[in-house]
Amino acid sequence: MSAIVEAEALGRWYGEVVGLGDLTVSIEPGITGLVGPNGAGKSTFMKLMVGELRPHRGSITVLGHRPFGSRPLYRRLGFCPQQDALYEHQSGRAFVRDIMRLAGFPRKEADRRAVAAMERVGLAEAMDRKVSDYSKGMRQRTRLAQAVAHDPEIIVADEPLTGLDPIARRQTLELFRALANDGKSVILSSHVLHEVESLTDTMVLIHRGRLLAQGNVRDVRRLINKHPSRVHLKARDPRGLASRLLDEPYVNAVSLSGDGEGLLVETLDVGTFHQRFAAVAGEADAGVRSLVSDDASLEAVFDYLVG
Amino acid sequence: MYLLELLRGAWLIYRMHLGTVVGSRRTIAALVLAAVPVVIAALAAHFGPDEIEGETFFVNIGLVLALGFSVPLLSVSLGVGVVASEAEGRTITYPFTRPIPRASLFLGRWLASLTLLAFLVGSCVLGMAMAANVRSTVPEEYVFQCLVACLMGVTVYSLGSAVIGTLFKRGLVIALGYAFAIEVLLSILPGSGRKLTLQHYLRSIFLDGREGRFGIDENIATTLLIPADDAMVRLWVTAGVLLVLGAYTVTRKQFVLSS
Repeated sequence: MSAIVEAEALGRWYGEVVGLGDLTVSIEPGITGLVGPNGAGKSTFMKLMVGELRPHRGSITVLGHRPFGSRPLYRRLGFCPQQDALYEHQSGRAFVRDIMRLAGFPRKEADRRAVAAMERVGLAEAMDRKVSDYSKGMRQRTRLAQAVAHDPEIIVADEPLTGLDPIARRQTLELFRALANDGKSVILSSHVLHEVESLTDTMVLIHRGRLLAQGNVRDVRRLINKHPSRVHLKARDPRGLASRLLDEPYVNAVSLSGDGEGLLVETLDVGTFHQRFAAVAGEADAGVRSLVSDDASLEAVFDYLVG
Repeated sequence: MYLLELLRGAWLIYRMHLGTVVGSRRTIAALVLAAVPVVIAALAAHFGPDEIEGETFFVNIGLVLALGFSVPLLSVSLGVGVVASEAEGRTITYPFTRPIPRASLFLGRWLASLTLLAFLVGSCVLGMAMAANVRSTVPEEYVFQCLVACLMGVTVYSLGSAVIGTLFKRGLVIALGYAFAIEVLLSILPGSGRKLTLQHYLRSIFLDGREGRFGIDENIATTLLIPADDAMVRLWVTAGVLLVLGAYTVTRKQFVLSS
C-alpha cells in the first residue's frame, strides 16, 4: 500500500518558536489519528499537509503532490480547520454551496452536494439558518460538511471533535467510519488519546514537533505501559514514607525533592499503588498532604516517552 | 488555461464577496463618507459667494472634496481589507484549499470592492454636480472628466491599498499615511516630486488642459500638469503593476492563522 502522506525531516517554525522540529513520517490510507498534547505541532503538521504553510526545511507530499497551492491536490483533499471561522452572513447551506462552487461544481450540483453534506453531519434542519446563529458544535459540523461535500479521497480534520456534544460526537465518529468504509482516508488530530482510540487502531504520536511513536494503538499502549507511572506526593515526613514505600514490591523507585517535603514515586503497577497507598501511608504516619498522579494527562505519558 | 481558471475563480470569489461587501458595517461607513462631500457642496452652493459660477464651483469642490478627500479615503478604507480581512477573519483557509488559483482571491475580492467604490464615487460626483447646478449649469464634459478621474483614482488607490494590506499587518495606517501624508508632502515640495503622486495624474485627467480657466496661469499650469491621455496611460500602467504585484504576493505569501 503506498503512503498518502510522506514527510521527510519536516520543519516549520514561527519566528523563534518551533512549530515542527524534524518530523519524518509516512501515513498509509485509512483512518489515522494524529495525537499529541497541546502545542505538540499537530496543527502545524496539518497546515503543511494542506498547503496552508510551506515547510522551512525538509519536504512533504500528499497523494504525490507538494501541497502549497497545489490545485490538483485540492480536488482530492478536504480540510476541516480548527479555527472557528465561517462567513457569518451566510447560511450553512449557502456557505457549503459557495465552497463547492470554488471546488468546481456547477451551481445546481454544488447546492445538491451542500444539502447532502449538511444532512450527513446532522444539520438538515438548521442548514438554512445563518451560521452566526449556530452553536459551537454546529459550526464545527458545518466546517466538516464543507470538507467532505466534494467527496475527496482524503479528509484532514484538525481537532474535529472539540466542542461537540456527546450526540454530535457520536455522529461525527460514525461519519468518519462511514467515510473510511467508502474507501476514503481520514487524518484527524486530537489531544485526547481515547477519542482517537475509539475510531482507529493507527496513530501517529507527535510531541514537541517530533515523531514520538507511530503504529497500532495497542503497541503504543504497550510502549506506554513499559514506562513507570509517576506519583508526586507531599508529606510531613517524606523520608519515613519513602523508606516504607521502598518495601512495597510494586514500587520501582522513590526520590526526594529538593524542598524536603516532596516525594516522587515510580511504579509499574499504579492500580495496586493506589489500592495500597492509604494503608502504607497510615503505617508510616507520614502526614500525607497531597498526591498527584502524572498519568492523568496524555502530556505526562509523552513526557515519559521522551524521557 | 491558468488565465481561464484565474478568471473563473475570480468571478466566483467576486460573487461571493459582493454580498459581504454590500452588507458590511464598513460599507455603511463608506456611504456616510461618500455623502460628506455632497452635503458640503450643497451647503457651499447655497451659502457661498454669489459671484462664483457653477463650473468653477464644481471644479474646485471636485479637486478638493472628490479627488483630494473621497477618492483616497474610500479607496483606502475598502481596499486595505481586500485580502487582509479574509486573513484576519481566518476564513482564507477555505478558498486557499480549493482548486482555484490563489491570485483569484485577490482579483475577485478587489473587483467586488471596486464595484462598490465606483458606485460610491459616481454617486458622489453626480451629487456634487447637482449641488453646483444650483448656481449655473455645469457642462457635462466637466462632470464626465471628474467621473473618469475619480474612477481611475479609486482603481489605483484601492489596488495600492489592497497590496499594502496584503503585505503589512498595519496596512490601514500605512495606506492612510501614504495617501494623506506622503502624497501631500511630495506635492508641496519643490521639484518634480509631485510626479510621484497619484493626485498629480488625477488632476491632470480632471482639468485636461483647462487649468487656466480656473485661476491657474496657463504657463505655470503646463509645467504642473500633463495631458489627460498621458496621465491615463501612466495610471493604467501603475494599476497593471499593482495588480500583478498583488496577485503575486497572494500567490506566494503564507498566511499564519491562529487556531
